[in-house]
Amino acid sequence: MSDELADLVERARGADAEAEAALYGRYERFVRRRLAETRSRRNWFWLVDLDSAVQDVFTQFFIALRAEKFSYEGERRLEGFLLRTGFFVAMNLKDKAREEQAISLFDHEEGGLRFDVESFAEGVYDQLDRQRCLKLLAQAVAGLNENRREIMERTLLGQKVREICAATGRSASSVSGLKFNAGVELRKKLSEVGFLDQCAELFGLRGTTDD
Amino acid sequence: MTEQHPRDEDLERWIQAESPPREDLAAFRASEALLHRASPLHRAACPSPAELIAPPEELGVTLSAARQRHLAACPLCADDLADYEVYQQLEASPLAQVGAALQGKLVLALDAARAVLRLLESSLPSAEGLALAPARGGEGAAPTLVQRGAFGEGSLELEWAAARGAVDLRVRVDEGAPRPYRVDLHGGGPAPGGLLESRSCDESGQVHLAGLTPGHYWLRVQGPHDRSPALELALELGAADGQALDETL
Repeated sequence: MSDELADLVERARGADAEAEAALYGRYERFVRRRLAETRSRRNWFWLVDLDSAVQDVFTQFFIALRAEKFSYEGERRLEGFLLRTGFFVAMNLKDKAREEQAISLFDHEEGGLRFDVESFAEGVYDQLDRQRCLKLLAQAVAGLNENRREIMERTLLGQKVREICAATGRSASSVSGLKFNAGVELRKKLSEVGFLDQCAELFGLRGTTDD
Repeated sequence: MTEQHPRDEDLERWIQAESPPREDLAAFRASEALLHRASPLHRAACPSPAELIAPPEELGVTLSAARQRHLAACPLCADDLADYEVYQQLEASPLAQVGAALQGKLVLALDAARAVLRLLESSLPSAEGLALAPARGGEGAAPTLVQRGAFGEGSLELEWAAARGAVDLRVRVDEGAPRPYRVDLHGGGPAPGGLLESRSCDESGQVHLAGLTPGHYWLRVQGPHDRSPALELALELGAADGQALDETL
């Protein structure tokens, strides 16, 4: 059994279509079940096309095989690799769905703030330059008055005027004016804290920041 | 600037109506672009999915600590990790390798008057001790069909009944069965689809799912601490007028 499987994997590494089809046939249901199960337990509403996600998992698996990123060391390891690939495919789809969405500033289930610019800046993963710059951004945002700060934080989380109106009870005109003026003032604060000198390039803002 | 971010229509209308000074508009646009690029939605400040789920010994002390700090501040990564924990739990479960503890397929059909249920097919094992074989009803027409099976240290009973042209399901457990248990109804297909309904048992240990219309479903019964369902049933409900089960009837 394992010799046969090892042989299939090696043949698939050499782009043998028959071996690829055999591996797909053998593990397709295994991958599909895991994705479907997690979709129902975690409300993965964005995982609409399960067939396509399963196909992606195998496409990436075969690419990884050919790139020597996977070596066969038994069936359990193969299953583990397929499942990890399935998770990465799912998270990629989730990020794409998120591009259409905003994040809430508050976690209503937990009853508290779920996002804070300063903590977010402190928590930047393994990039000192980005961390330093986000700390400067947090400093600039903190220099705004409370209303403008909240609007900028919500904007940072991708919330549009309509969503901010729903969250704050303000009118669209009021939120738009507040957002615009907060943005204008933030630009000044960014200059004062040195963000524009130190960080404009990192954030691809050259050409938008020159006075 | 090479990357465009989606504009906010309400805001754009306000800007058009207010016609703010050009320098203010330029300042606003710069802030807007920055906030878009710095947004957690861009994931630029996040660990990769592989780093997010890597065991601490693989990352090392420094990166593990950085990941912990990040998780505390990033709602997106915290959510992804919660996803992975569910995904991983399923992986760790030996039952998940083979699916539910007890799996099967059940095909039921309502008669022409939609008043009586018929059992057309049941692939559930009928061996004693693991049985979910019909206790009443069976091949002939009967007002209700009852099936029993092992559940934890006790047993589980599924009672199917025709009611108002649809099918009602009542699930009961005895004293030895785990509580609270949950019954999930999913859409049908080759694998369980979206969750349609999820009910926890009441104080008497019963769950009632009423008004199941003809169609394909998956039914799962899950104990309080189980990682995999105790029972997973591919369920086909048909009607003699051909709805949902043309190929079977």
